Amino acid sequence: MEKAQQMSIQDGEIIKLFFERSEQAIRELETKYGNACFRLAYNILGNRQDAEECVNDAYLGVWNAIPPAKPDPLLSYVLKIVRNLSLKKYWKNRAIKRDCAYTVSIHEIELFLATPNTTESEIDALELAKMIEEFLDMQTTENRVIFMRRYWFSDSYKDIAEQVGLSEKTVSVRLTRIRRKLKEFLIQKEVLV
Amino acid sequence: MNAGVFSDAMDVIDSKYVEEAMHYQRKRKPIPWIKIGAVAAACILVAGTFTIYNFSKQNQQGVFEIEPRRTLPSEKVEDTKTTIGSETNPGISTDECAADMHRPVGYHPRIGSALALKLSLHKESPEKVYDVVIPCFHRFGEDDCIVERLSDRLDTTSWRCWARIQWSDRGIEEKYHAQLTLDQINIVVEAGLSCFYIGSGKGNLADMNFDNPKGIETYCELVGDKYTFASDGSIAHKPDILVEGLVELEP
Repeated sequence: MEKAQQMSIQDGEIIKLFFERSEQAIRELETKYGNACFRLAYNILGNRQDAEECVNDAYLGVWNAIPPAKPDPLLSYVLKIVRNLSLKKYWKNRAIKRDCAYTVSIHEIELFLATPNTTESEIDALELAKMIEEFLDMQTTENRVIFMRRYWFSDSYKDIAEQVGLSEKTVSVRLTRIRRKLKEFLIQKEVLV
Repeated sequence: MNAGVFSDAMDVIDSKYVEEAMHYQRKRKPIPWIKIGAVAAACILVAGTFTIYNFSKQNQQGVFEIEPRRTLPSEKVEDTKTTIGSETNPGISTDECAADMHRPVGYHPRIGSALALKLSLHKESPEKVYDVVIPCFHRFGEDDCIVERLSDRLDTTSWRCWARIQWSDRGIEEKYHAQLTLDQINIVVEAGLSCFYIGSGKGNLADMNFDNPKGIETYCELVGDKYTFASDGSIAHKPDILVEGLVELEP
C-alpha cells in the first residue's frame, strides 16, 4: 500500500488537475486518499453506504472549492471536509441509533468532561479549539497522536495500538490519563468548574 | 460541556495535528538480545533458588489453609479450585498468603464477567490495612479506574465489612460484595470486572493501578485466559479461572 502511495502522483499535480478542471483530478484523489477518507467517514457513520455518499459529496466539495482554494497539505483539507459532512449526516441520522465508533468515542469524552455542577462557563468551539491546541502542545507526540486518532479520526483502540506500536491496554490507559489531564487543564482555564 | 461543543472544537483544530496523526510512524527499537539473555539467565537462577527454598520450607511448616467457603444451596460445586501457596502449588511462601479464584456456576464463561476471590492474609499482622483497587471496564471500552478503599468501610471492632456498590449514575453497572475478616478478604464481583488488586496499604491509593504497581504488595490480575497472582515480589501465572460455588453473602 505504501508502495502504491509512492507511485501515485504528488498533491501539487492533483491540485493542478483541479485547476485545469480535469475530472482526472477526482480519480487521482480517490486513488491516493480514498481509503483514508472512507475509513474516517465509516468510523463516524458506521454505515458503508452513508460513508461512500459522504466521501463522494466531499469530492464534489473539493471540486467546487479548488480553485480558488489551493490547499496545502491536501490530505487534511479533504479529510476535514469528509469529517464535516459525515458529522452533519451523523447528527441527522441520530434518531436511527447506530453503534458506530464516533458514538463510542464522543460518549467517552462527554462522560469525562461532563461536570456535576452546571455552572460551567459558556465557551465557543473556536476558543475551546485554541485551548485543546495549547493542551496538545504540552503532550508528547505519541500522546498527541493517540488523542487525535481517537477523537478526530474516531479510531478504535485496536487501530490506534497498531499505529503507535503499543498494546490496546496501554492505549486505553494513556487515553484515560490524557482525558484526565485535559479535564484538569480545562478546570485550570476555568472552562470546567 | 457537551459532546457537540467538543466535536465542533475538534473540527476547527489546526491541520498540523491531523497531519501529524496521519503520518505518525512508530519508532522501531532494536532488540537488545544481550540484555534479554542476561535477564533470562538471572530469572532462571532466581526462580531455581526460590523453588528450592520454598520446597524445603514447606517440608518444615504446615500449609496455610483457607477456611472452607459456604456456597448457595442451588449451586453445584466442582472441586476444581486452584490454590496458590499450598502443597499443590509451592510457588509462593505459605507464610504470607494463599488465594484461589473461582467463577460461580451460571455466569458467562468470559473471564471477568463474574469473579470471586478469596484471599487469606497475613495472620501474624491483622492490623494491616488492605485497600482494594478496582479498575472497571465499562461497555465503551476501558475507562476510569474506580477506586474503593475497603478499609474505610471497615468496622474495626469486629473486623468485618460488607460493601455492595453500584455506580449506575455513571452508566456503569458494577457491583461488588466484600467481606473482611481478621485474616481474609472475600470478594465477589459482578459484571464487567477484569482485574483487581489487594494493596498493602502502603503508598498513595490513587497511584495504584495496573500501570504502576507502586504500593501494591499483593494483587490478582486477569489477562486473557490466565490470571496472575502476585505477592511480595513473587508472581504466579495460572490458567483459566475454574468453576466453583458462589460465596454466600449477607443481604
